[in-house]
Parts: sequence; C-alpha cells; structure tokens
Amino acid sequence: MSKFGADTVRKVAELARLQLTEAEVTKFTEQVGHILAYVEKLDALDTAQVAPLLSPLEVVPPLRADDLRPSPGAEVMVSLAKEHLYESYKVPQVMGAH
Amino acid sequence: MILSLHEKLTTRKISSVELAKHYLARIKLDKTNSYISVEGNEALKMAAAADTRLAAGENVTLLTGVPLGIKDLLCTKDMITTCASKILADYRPPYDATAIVRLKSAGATFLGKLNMDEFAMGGSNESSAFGAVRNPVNHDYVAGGSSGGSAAAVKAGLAAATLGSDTGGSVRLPAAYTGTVGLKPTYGSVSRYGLVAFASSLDQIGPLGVSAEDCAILLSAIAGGDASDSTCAPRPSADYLELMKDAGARKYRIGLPKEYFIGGLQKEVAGSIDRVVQALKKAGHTLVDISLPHTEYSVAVYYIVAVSEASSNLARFDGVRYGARLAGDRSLAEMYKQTRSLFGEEVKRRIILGTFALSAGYYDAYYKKACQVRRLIKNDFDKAWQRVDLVLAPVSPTTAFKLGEKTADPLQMYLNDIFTVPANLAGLPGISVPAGRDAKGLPVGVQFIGKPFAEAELLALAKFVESEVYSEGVDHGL
Repeated sequence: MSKFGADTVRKVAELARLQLTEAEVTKFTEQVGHILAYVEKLDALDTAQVAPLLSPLEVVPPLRADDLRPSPGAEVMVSLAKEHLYESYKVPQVMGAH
Repeated sequence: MILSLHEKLTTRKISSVELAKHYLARIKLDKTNSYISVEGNEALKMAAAADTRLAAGENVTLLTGVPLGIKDLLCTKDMITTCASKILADYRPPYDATAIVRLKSAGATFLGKLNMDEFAMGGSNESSAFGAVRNPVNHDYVAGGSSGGSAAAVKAGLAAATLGSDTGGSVRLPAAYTGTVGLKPTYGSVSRYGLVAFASSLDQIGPLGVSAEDCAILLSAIAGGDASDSTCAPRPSADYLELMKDAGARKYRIGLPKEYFIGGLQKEVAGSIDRVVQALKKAGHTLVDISLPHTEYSVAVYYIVAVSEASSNLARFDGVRYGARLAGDRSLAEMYKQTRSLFGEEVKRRIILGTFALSAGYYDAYYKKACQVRRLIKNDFDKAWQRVDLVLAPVSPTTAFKLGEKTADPLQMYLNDIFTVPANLAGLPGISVPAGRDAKGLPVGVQFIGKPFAEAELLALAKFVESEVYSEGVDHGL
C-alpha cells in the first residue's frame, strides 16, 4: 500500500511537529515500515460494503444543557503555562518570524 | 481486602491514619518502582478526614479510610499528574477527574500516583520516563503495562487497591502478569473526564485489586453517567458487590473461541484455562466452542486506530498552555518541536505511525480500512452473543517476560496484545483473574469477556475462579 521510507518519516515528523535525530529517522523508518507491512494483512478482507466503526457507542452523545458552570477561571488556567502575561499565553513571535 | 479493611476500620481495630502510615512505610521500602510520586502529607490529611467520618458514623462507605493508589494519568487536583512523561513532569492539574471526585466523596485515601508506560503506550511498563516497573513476583520480569504500577502496587502491598486504565489490555495484562485481578469496564461505564486521553474510542478506567470483590467495590464507586463526558453512558452506577452475588447464582453458556487457542500459547496458560473449564463444567455451566473469525486482524486494527487517535490527542502537548516548554524563542514551530522532543521513543513512534495513517492519500487505506475491520470484529462478538453469555480466553499468550526482552522489536511487543485488544475494539468489558503459576513461578491469568454492561457476571465468574480453581493469595502485612 505504501512506500514508507526515510523521506516519509521526515515529512510525517514535520506534520506532527516532532524533531527527530537522523538515528531516530533510520530506526522509525525500519520499525514503522515493519508494522505497516504487518497491517497490510487487512487488505485480504473485502470491506467495500462495511461501514467504518469509529466508536463502540453508536449513539448520538447526550448533550448537557448549555449553562454556565463553575470553572477554575482564566487566571488559574493561564497560570499553568510556562510563560504567560496577565490572562494570556505568551508564545514566540508568529507574524514576521523567521 | 477492602471488606476486611472496612471491618477493621469500622470496629476501630485500626484507624485510617494508622493504615495510611502502614502503606506509606511499605512504599518507602519498595523495590518495584511502582510509584512515580508519593503524597504522604496529603494521604495523612485524607486519612484523618476519613477517621472523623468513621468516628461520627456519617457518610461511611466501604472505601472510607481505604488507602488507594492512582495511575498517573488520572488528573488529581494539586497532585502531580505526569503520565510517566517528561513533558508533564511537573504538571499539577487544576481539577480532579470524575473518578477521583467520586473516590474522594467515598472517603478513600490516596497514597500517590502510580507508574505506567508513557501516556499508557506500552504493554510492559518499560516506556515510562521514570523507569520500568519490576514484577513483584520476580524483579527480573516486567509487571506488564501500561498500568504496571497499579498492578505491582496491589501485589506488593503498596496500596489496598488501585485504579488503572485499559486501552488495549492495560489493566488486564499487568493483572495477569502479577497475579492480581483487573477489570476493564464496558466502554462508557466509567467517565473518562480527567483521564488524559490516549485513544478516546478505546480508553476506559478500570480497577485492580487482590480480589474480584475489591474490583466490584471500586467499580461501584466510580461508574455511572457524567455530564462532563458525552461518551459516558447516562445510567446510574450500581452495587456491584450485590449484583455479583446474584450473578454468581446463575448458570451460563460460556464460549471458547477457537481463534484464541492457537499455536504459541504457553502450555501453563492453556493448562490454567483447562482447569477453569473443568471447574465451570462441574459447577453446571455450559461450555460452547465458538468462532470469532476476525481475531487475527485485531492487532493490526488496534495499532492503526489507537495510534491515529493518539497522534491527534497528543497534538495538545505543544508547550503553550501546560506542561514543559523548551526554549525555541525564534518561532512557534521551533518551540513546538523542541518541546515535543521530550516525548519518549515509543510515543514518538506511535505519533509518526498515527500521523501517517491519517495523512492525505493514506487515510482510506489505513485508518478507514482499520475502522471497517473493527466493525467486523464487533460483529463477530454480536453473533457470538446469540449462542453464549460470556467468553473465556487467555489474557496473554505467555506469562511475564524478562525486562528488556522485547523492547528492540515493537511489533513483537504489540502482538502480545492479541487477546486483549478485541474487547477494547468492540467496547466490551473484560476481567483478568489469576488462575495459576507457570514452571518459573510466574502468575497466569485467565480472561472473561462479556456483553456490554455485564460487569457483574464477569466479577461473579472471577470470584468463582478464586474460590474453586486457584487462589493467588497476597500479603499486605496486616
């Protein structure tokens, strides 16, 4: 089903925002390729007429009333961040960054 | 264990504080690395509050004053919750998981947070950033995972009982490897609110204990609908201790799926199942040969579905809102990448696999295909339920393996989950109960799988195995 090589690992790592060493790229190329080769056994099954099962609970999840409920509050939540300013998260420059 | 502790506590033979001190002293001598953090002062405060309740005779439950250990992926307010990951090494959640709220309300004492595979990804508890858990029965062997600390702590007498979580066998497998009882409830039985998500369509919180009764008591306390989790079934909890008594009086048709008794099954595992089968027959139950024909595809389906969901769930660890954050002052992307380099190897491997399976051009071939076969696996069980009430199966093809034995080959490690992942894929409850020891003295577990919400029947049959087939025994020094 796939050509899973080192370039694919690098591309997927970029998508997943993972920084891999070259040693990790080599290792994951082999190991994940091995796992995907095993997964290809699923191709033996004809599933053209089978609806995917995404969750064991095939019911519409019950919704609670859209009421205000107590929460820890913005100050508490923001204080969990390593860097914050007042009630905002502080991150590196986004616009015009390198 | 819990009933006996409850009797001692309510008759004032021991106080909650004394009991907490007893377990905390044992934890200090622990050689299994079961705990990631021990909250001695908090435990003693909770125990003192339980003593007040016991003295007043008000709001006393079976768990009041009982010292428990909690897997370190359940959010506990103001107690560190690491998920055994460097990325959450100093994370203190601002809220309690629903299961934790309910245990607190029952008056339980929390001793600390238990070791596990990083983000519950593993079957041997060797992927923890805080070191592997050793099997209390033999320290050279793994305790199983991912709830290795939860199982080892029960076996080694480092908590009266514990909570774990089971995404593909993570309660049942360590229970089997350590000679303890572990229950994976029906998907939707227990609220997942505050359970750090690994694979949201598979995760369930489950109890581990010395006995089926201990698991019943914990399940009664934590189960039941919760408005904070829309996947939690809107039904009340129940008194599983009473329900399992009723369930124990009935006779069942019990299925033996031929696909679970294949080559590679360790002879002592097969032997233990045989002894259980003979005892069940003798007691008047009917054993039926059945087929679950898509079992051989379970591991392939599981490792696509679970890692796909995981790659999405773990996107939240970006260094912005909570958890660790590594430099990366130049750009947001650099900060994300440096922070996420704190993930361990198994987590990274699964994120790579999951991201690939969900990526454009591969989604249909991997994720959608896996979900289609997932339905076939569930259909197998639905068909089986027309002939039988429960399924009896091994938990794992073998007993515990040596530390380091399987870490070099992830696929071999994954294949070990062949008998546990089907219940997660189909959303069914499963229980692991000790049924013997192998020639090396390592515990063997057997598994019962039931229809949705058949936890009482599973608990009853686990108790049957304890009383009629094999008693593992445990010493908590009390």
